[in-house]
Amino acid sequence: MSGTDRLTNGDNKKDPGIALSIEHVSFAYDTALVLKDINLTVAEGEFVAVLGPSGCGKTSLLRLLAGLEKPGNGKILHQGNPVTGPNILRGVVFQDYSLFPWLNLQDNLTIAINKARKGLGRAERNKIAEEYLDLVGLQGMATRHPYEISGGMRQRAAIARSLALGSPVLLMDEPFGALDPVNRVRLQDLLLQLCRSSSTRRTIVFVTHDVEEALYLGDRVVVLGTTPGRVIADINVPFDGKRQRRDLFLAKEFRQLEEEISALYHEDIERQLEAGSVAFGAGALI
Amino acid sequence: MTEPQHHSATRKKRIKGFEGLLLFVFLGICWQLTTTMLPLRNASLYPTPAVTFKALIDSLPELLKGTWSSFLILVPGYFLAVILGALWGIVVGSVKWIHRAFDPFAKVAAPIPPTVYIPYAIALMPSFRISAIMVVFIGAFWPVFVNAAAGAALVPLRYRDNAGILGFGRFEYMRRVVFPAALPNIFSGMAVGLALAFILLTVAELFGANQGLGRFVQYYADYADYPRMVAGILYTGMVTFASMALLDFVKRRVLFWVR
Repeated sequence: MSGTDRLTNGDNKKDPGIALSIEHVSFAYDTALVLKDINLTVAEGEFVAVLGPSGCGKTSLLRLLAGLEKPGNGKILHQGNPVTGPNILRGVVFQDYSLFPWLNLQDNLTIAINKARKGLGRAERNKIAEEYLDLVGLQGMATRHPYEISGGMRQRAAIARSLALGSPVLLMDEPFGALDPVNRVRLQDLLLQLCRSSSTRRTIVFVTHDVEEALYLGDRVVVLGTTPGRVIADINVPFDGKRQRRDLFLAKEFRQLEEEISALYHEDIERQLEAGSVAFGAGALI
Repeated sequence: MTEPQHHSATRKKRIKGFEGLLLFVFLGICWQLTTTMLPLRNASLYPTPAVTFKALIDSLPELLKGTWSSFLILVPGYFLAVILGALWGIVVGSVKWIHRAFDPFAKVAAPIPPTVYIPYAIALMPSFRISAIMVVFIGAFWPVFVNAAAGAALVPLRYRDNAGILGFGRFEYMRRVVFPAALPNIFSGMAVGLALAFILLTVAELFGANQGLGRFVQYYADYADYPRMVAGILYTGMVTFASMALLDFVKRRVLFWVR
């Protein structure tokens, strides 16, 4: 609500190619250290999947990027400007609560459209809302309320809302985590399709604990270790834009990467176990 | 083996949905039996259903006039309490420093039984109607306020996050997020407030009204016309029930999204 970072990035623009940069960021809940010395940059238009087991602080990282939490140490920059609070420059799709239950889909979207483009008439706003609903495959659902539709449809609407908000950066916190496998795949494909279309292309940070999902969606996969959360790997996904799900999952390179990441996970857990047997660090409380 | 089970199942099915009605029938029979069969010492104190029903029909015009008079007190007092209680509750529940300033006073003032204000209100105000409106207002205000404040203070984090992401200002946040999020609580407060409002209304009318529902009962009790008095009690019960049912109906319409 107190989004104060500026809409324009004038003189203090550091690097035109960098959308988000996280510099030496640490974050703690009370005394428990959640994230330790995170350094990360996200380029404009890049799709970064942040992968990590539960409890690694990946949601905290996303909330920090959104401006919903403040880092204990370090700084977070969006196009060179420090992030001081939530701002419509960075849209967020949560796991299952991005919509207001008392508003129908159209009204949920027009709230966002109102913010993105001021001074539109009601009819115009409704028309734009319907266009965005069409875009995510929710034709004719404008007057439905969130409780009347399935979880998959709700997430479609949530994506439509963040697109309608016009944010150049989209932060997604396990948006498909609560969906059944079929809907999950459908929405993954929808998201990729939207990413490839120039009008809806965004810089995306996508948090997930699913290795396949991260590799399928991300141009880059950042792997977080636990206790405290820190970057243990930063992998460029070498497959090009024209991915076919089936081919990809059969590809040798894909399987190899998947195994590598699983190995990294394991290593991290073993290290935790060893550290735990030596001393109870503050992180052991998590 | 299966036969008796089958029987009891169909019987259950037949009764299902009518249990409440059955209790009314049972109570009516009890009433009829006690007033006609038992050798009561002071029979005039126990009017039979038939006599009471006749008294109810006979005094219907008077009761309707009394209802109108009572509602002229109840409606302004109650709605003022709902509007101010909800607004102020939302402010107190969501603005921290106002909460710190007002909460201690609310904690002391809210539990005072509002009936104790009646004599002073009657002495203080220029007319009985205004003093009764004031008492109804005080009685209904606190439950609405307390519930609205609790609802506003407990707006789920997810709605706050969403409001932040959409760039809502403080007023927009209150109107578009806190208010709807607190509505279920506000309606709970309104139900408690309405019940209290009826109690205060009728008690106030016992004190100093020259018409109205409470006055009707008091008046015929003074003249030992118990059929009319019992009719008045039953009628007041029905009016209260109808009002609560109406509130419940409105609540269901407004809170359609609450599952």
